[in-house]
Amino acid sequence: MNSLTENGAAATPRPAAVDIENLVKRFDAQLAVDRVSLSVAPGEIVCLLGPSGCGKTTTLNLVAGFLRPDSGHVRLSGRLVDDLPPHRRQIGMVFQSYALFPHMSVLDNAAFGLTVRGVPRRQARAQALETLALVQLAEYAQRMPQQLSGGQQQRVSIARALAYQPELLLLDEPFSSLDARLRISLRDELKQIQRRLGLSALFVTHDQEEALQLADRVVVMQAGRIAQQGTPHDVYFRPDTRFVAEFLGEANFLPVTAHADHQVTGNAGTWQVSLPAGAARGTLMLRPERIALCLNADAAGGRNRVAGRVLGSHFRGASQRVDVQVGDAVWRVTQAGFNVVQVEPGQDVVLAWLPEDGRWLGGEAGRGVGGEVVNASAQVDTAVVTRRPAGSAGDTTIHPATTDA
Amino acid sequence: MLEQSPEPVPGSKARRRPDTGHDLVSPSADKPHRVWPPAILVPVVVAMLALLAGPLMLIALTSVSTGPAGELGRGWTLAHFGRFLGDPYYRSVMLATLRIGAIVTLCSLLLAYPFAWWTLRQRGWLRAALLFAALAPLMVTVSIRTLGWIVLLADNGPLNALLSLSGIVTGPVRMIYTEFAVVLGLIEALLPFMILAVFTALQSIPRDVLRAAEIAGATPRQRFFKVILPLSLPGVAAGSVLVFTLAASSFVTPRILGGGRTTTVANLVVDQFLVSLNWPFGAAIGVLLFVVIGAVMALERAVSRRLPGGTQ
Repeated sequence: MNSLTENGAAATPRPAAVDIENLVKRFDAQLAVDRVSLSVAPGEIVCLLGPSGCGKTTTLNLVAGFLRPDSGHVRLSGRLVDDLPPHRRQIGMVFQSYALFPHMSVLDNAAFGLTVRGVPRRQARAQALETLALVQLAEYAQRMPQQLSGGQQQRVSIARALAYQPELLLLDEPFSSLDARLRISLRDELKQIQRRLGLSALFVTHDQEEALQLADRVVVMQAGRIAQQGTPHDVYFRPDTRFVAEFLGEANFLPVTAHADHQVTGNAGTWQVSLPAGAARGTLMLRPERIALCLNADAAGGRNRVAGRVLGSHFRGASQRVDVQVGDAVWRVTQAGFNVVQVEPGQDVVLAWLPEDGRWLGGEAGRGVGGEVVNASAQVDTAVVTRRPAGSAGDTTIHPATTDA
Repeated sequence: MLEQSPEPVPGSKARRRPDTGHDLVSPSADKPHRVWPPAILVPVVVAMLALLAGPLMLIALTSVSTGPAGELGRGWTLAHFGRFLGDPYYRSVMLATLRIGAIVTLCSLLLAYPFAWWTLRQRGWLRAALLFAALAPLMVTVSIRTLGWIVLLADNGPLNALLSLSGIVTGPVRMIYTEFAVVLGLIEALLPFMILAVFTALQSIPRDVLRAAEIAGATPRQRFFKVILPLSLPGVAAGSVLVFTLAASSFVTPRILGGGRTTTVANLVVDQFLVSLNWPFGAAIGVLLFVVIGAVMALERAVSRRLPGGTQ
């Protein structure tokens, strides 16, 4: 079984909105979805996150019923739907391409799910108009879809999916074809609507920021399998594997050797970190924004620390990234807000972090990524690109031999 | 009308100056493309003018001239048009032509639509084979194809043999040299055009749109009538106008399979030019057919412009 760090759904009295059990889907020789199990509790947003080709969209299509699994089961609100065609599953779905009906007005698009259910025209239109008001498009009801902007079209598509009050909302990269600013505002809007209506939703995205912001629970997928699932905070700060750590954001990876008493030794010091039993060689993961840049050892206080020399800094608007040479590796530190310490290239500094901000990644995870010497300057930017394991060799890296006790 | 253009500030022209500098870098930016065709189009334009527009003009002039065999300039008259429209026989031929065109179009559509839909859902070699089969009639020359029908539909042909064997009829049924044979032959000849047009239209419906209808609760039947059919109408219209035009102006198939009994307008034209040697009358009939088919095409355009995505 995968590391189910959180499974609040099992404890709730109402059956899960979605319950996926050991789904397997093969396309010719390729295993697109490999023994995936997950559930969405009523009122919960779960994000399936992963690079393209990781099986997240296939999983969504299996839930929708567009594809039939080779094995495994899908339950919606406790009811087995394996033999139910999509149109009888009571699901709403939002597509990346909006997929509006170009020959129908905005109102008719929104009312579609009601009219095909035999709801009288007048009532269907009234209800659709209400849903359009929810996405602030009531005054556009008579327009044709192609007269609207991309963001408006996607809101119509959300209204179309919600108008018939489905038990579950599926969203397949709904904001990927919108520009960044619009994406963020629609994200906020969707979250609000979801909270207000108490919707259960399964959301597919490759955008980690979107997943972290929207989801109650994030499910990270890699090569058809679930690499890790948990709260956004959990998967971000306590990743089980290097893949998860890199996919969710910038990180420093330091090869270290474990000792007793939760001590590890890296290339430039010995530090405290929570270690599982039997840890030997592995990787210490540190988020750049959890490292404090100190001008001297006193400022570092009682935290883990290491001495280094500033290589340079990069202004990024809201934050500033500083590259620091520590031994033979480059560490990245992100400073933001009031805590920005101004430094010059060549300046000696001390990096400090709390023991709980370091994350031990098991030895196998470290090996799986090629066991390269950690050189953050080369790695962090290419993380997303290079984190695609090739074939079976990569598969072994997904399931770490150890997790926290 | 320059004064009415929506310029909010008089000085805004000056402010746009930096943009014009940018235009030099990317010439495609703002300016409309040149109206004149590029040099590469010269041969085709010349060919069209010389081989299509020129002869058509000549036909039009012939149709209003008084001289017998295409001698222009003797005098002008509309009598040829009057003769055609005033004669019940000619009118009935025109009606028969339009009827054949309509029946062929309708039958082709009813055959092509399900075939195109089904083919679209196939994958790999089967789909390729189906498309090949659909287009195969185009690879056989029209006379061979038509002669095949003569054999098939003959009084003592295989079809009649089959009918009498099964006991449905006692004597041979007259099929060859009837309007039925003409319609059959035309359907077979023109079906590929309809299949291609409908197939293309169906193929252009995005998969997500069909899935959106499906997940929203539409049954297969509802998906067809509410989404697939309306979205494929531009293709249906295009295929119909193509098939109708070709059927209504066809000449060889009605000539051979109709056996002279079923005359179409195109055959009247041929007879006037080659048999009666009354070129002006033949030209007038040709112009009338041209106008009627043009009217049908105009109707199609008017209709498909109101269809979704129909912005031809």
